[in-house]
Amino acid sequence: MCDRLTEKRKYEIDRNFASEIKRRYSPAPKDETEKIFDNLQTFFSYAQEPGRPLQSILDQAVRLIYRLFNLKEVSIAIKSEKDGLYRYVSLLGFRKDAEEAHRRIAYTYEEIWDTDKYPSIKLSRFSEFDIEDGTTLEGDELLAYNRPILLTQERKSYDEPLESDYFTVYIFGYKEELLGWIEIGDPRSGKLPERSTIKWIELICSTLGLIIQREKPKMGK
Amino acid sequence: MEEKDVFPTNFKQHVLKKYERLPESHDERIIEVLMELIFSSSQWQKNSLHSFLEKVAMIMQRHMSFREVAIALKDRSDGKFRYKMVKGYSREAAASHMKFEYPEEDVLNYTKYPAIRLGRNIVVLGRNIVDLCSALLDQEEELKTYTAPTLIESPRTSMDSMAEADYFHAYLYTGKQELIGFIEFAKTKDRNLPPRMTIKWMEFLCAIVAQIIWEKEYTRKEIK
Repeated sequence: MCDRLTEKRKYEIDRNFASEIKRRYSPAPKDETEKIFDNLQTFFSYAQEPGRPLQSILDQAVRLIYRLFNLKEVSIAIKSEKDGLYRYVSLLGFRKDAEEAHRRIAYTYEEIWDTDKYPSIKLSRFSEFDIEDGTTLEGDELLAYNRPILLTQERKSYDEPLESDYFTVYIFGYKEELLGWIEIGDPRSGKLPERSTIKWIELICSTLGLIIQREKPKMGK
Repeated sequence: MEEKDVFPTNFKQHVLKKYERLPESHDERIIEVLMELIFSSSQWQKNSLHSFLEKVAMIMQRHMSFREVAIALKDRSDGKFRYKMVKGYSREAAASHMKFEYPEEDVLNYTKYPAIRLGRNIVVLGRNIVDLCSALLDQEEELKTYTAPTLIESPRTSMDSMAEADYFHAYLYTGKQELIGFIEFAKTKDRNLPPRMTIKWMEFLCAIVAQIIWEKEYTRKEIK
């Protein structure tokens, strides 16, 4: 079929091609997007492993988002299979008192969608921009802020987030059941987060939906 | 969900403009379609596998620019891999794919099917990539799975180009590292090698697809 000379020549060309392929698709991330991507893949592999406790997966998700997107506050709330209430189960970046206050809060499904109490700007099917009215907050909802004294401050610039600003990205399961959400706030940049940050977190929430759904049967026990 | 009018109008417009729903980049578009894919799996029913695989193939054709996509899954009854979805091939090549079955040893046999590993779960294959005189040439039936088998001998025109015989395999591994399938894809629309990010997206797509198929199908029944 192929004489030795032809075979040798083609073999050399193919080896060059193999080197080109390896160079072109080298696994080391080349830019910020690839870095996010690699971390996302590592996270999903971690979460996919059966037997991994859900709490450690959620903690890992919070750390990932906190670190990758330069945020000072990240939290995850999920639905309890026991009583159907939504509670914060993983938090990063909060003062001890604020974190404890978060953990004491429990929301019903109806409260989550109560736009009179929690006004928001809907950004997509999965995410919204929220703002709390600092003058009406009380109890644990007030204590849950790192700097409650700043809650009544006026907005000076559209790009500058206030203490009361945060984003919520929802986590849905099978048949569109609301499984929980991720809240992010206080970007290190001092500006509203980039739109790509919200998109990536939406993707993380979608994948978390698959994982939480998988773990649901164990959660009620 | 209704929005309460507590936001100053200009600020609300600013937020909506900054985070508007339409994707602004190719990556954002893929994020959107992946989320749609995951979301659609939340409505999974008894016969959803076929339409799910069709969606996966469509994502690869429309958003990753591959013309040919074939998805094979493992029948757990006999451990053999068979194609369940074939898109973009000639009718003969598609029919030929459906006749094939591979034991796991063959799927991962890089001596028989020379391959270069690209990432965690993707390899690029092709009979002229590593070894000109590979066994493939002797396997007449396998040649029929190519849309243009007569072009298999044609040389690569540049380091950027894909030859007729080049194709990729992305493996579907479960969290337990069980191989439950693979996606074969080839022929970019511009006939060049795909961009780096496409391969990265493919890896992620495969991880998601494997997780969904595992949860929805394998934990309940065999794929038949």
